[in-house]
Amino acid sequence: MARNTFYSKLLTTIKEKYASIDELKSLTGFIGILILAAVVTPQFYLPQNITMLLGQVSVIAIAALGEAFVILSGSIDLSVGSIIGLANVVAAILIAQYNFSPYMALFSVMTIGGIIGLTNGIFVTRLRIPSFVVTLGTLTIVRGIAYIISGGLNIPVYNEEFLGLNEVFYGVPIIFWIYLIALVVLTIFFEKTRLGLYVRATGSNELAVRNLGVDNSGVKNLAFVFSGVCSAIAGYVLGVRLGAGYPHSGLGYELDVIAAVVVGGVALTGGTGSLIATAIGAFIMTSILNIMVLAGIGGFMQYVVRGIILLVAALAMRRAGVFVK
Amino acid sequence: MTEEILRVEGISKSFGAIRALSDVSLTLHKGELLAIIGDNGAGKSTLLKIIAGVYPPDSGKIFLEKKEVRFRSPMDARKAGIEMVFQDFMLCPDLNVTQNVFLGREIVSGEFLNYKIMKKILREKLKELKFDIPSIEKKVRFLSGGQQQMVAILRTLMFDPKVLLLDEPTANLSAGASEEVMNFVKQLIRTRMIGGIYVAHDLNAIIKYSDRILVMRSGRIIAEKMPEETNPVELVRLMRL
Repeated sequence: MARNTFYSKLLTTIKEKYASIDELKSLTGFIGILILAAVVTPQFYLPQNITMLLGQVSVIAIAALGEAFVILSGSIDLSVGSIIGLANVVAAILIAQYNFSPYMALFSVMTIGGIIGLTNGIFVTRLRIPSFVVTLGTLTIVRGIAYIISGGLNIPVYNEEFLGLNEVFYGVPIIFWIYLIALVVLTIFFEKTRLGLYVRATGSNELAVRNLGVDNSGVKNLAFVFSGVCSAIAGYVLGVRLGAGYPHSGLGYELDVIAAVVVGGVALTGGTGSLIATAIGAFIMTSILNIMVLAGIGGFMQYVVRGIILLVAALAMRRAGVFVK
Repeated sequence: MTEEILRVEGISKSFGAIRALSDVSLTLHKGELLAIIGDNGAGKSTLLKIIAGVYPPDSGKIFLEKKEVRFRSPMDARKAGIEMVFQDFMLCPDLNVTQNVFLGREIVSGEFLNYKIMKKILREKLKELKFDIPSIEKKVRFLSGGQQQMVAILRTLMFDPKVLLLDEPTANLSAGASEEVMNFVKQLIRTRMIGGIYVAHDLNAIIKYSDRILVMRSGRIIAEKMPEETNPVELVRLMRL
């Protein structure tokens, strides 16, 4: 009897530890996918495929960093795909037509992304409109602006410095290095600073945070600004990969980005999760796509499989108690 | 009677056409647990919220240790030494015990949170208070209801409060956990000479734990009773007269 109690206590402790470390669940899933890849499509591990995968994951993963902040704070940002599209178009126009340096163009689109994010934030915190509705509105508006300023046309970019970001540095695409830098900086911010803690606290219990005298509206605004800036960087990086500005680029990316965040184990109700977990989520979604292409699974079927993965991940998180709030 | 710690004089408050409080005055002494009872809408919670800086009063004055104070926000009241414990704990379930206890008053080194010092201070405080929490690194959602309310109370004690406001602190707890929480609060108020105001519906608990009982009706204090001289039947009669 005592032995049984000991084991059941031990099991409870292990379960609690497992559920309390945000990254473990998604990491288990990712390891499972890596094993699957080794069995089904060994060519997944070829260096050129890994390099390509790292390039592919960058766009979604960068946008997912910002989205994670918004979701962790208890809101949602649906406008990320449109901001990616607008940033892609604006960067291309600035470089190709106005001779901006790639760095000035990056700074410009980051500013635009930040302003759109702040607008989302103000509508949510000041005008008290649910973030789902606000960002659904900006999703359409921002996409419309991308079409208007490009005239619906594609804008090729021939700037060598810009296209040079496609190069590989120590076996890793430069755009992935950009992502890694953003991941490290934002993780330090999220885990080690007061504001980072308040993002999670606001998502966990907004009323409690307000009663303790913390400016929860400011925290939410900040999360939306981060999301806008990250999406703008993602759009810029997408431009590097495409070598052009396409007004319809990033269409539907919001779902991939949110899926990456959720698969990574961030609760849609806010408060639980981490940026590292979001990175793992982005890798899971992109690797599955990559494996399906390598295995010769058709594009239509890919949609079905990705949807199923999302549902399975949500179920797994639920069992771990992540979504129980 | 010990020295006064909090005095409220002639507080009135209206919300639109509804008069929530009319000319309410009370005095709280060091080491005293004062209970306020009344039916729903009698004004108990409004009074606590005014003292805690959630609402400003329309008229009247608040004196803390005989000095007049005016609070523009709950943070002002917390800084002055008035802390509130809520019915629904007001904790962030996804943060651990340390993060919850220091929320809004974190200790930082430069720009970065210094958990090492926060944990050290918390451990010392736990030892001093003889407080039993499974782990200070455990997320609060893994704690029982009673433990969660103890964490909420612990948060109010970290910065040596002068006045504790308890708004139905045991309403969401089991009988056993309620007793544990109230015994702890009672002992704390006595030994540290804090003033406590306790709003609750459980009249037996009120009689058991409080030092003095004020009865409110329609935004006014209509009676004052000593717990040893009254009983639940009389208190109900006074509340509904």
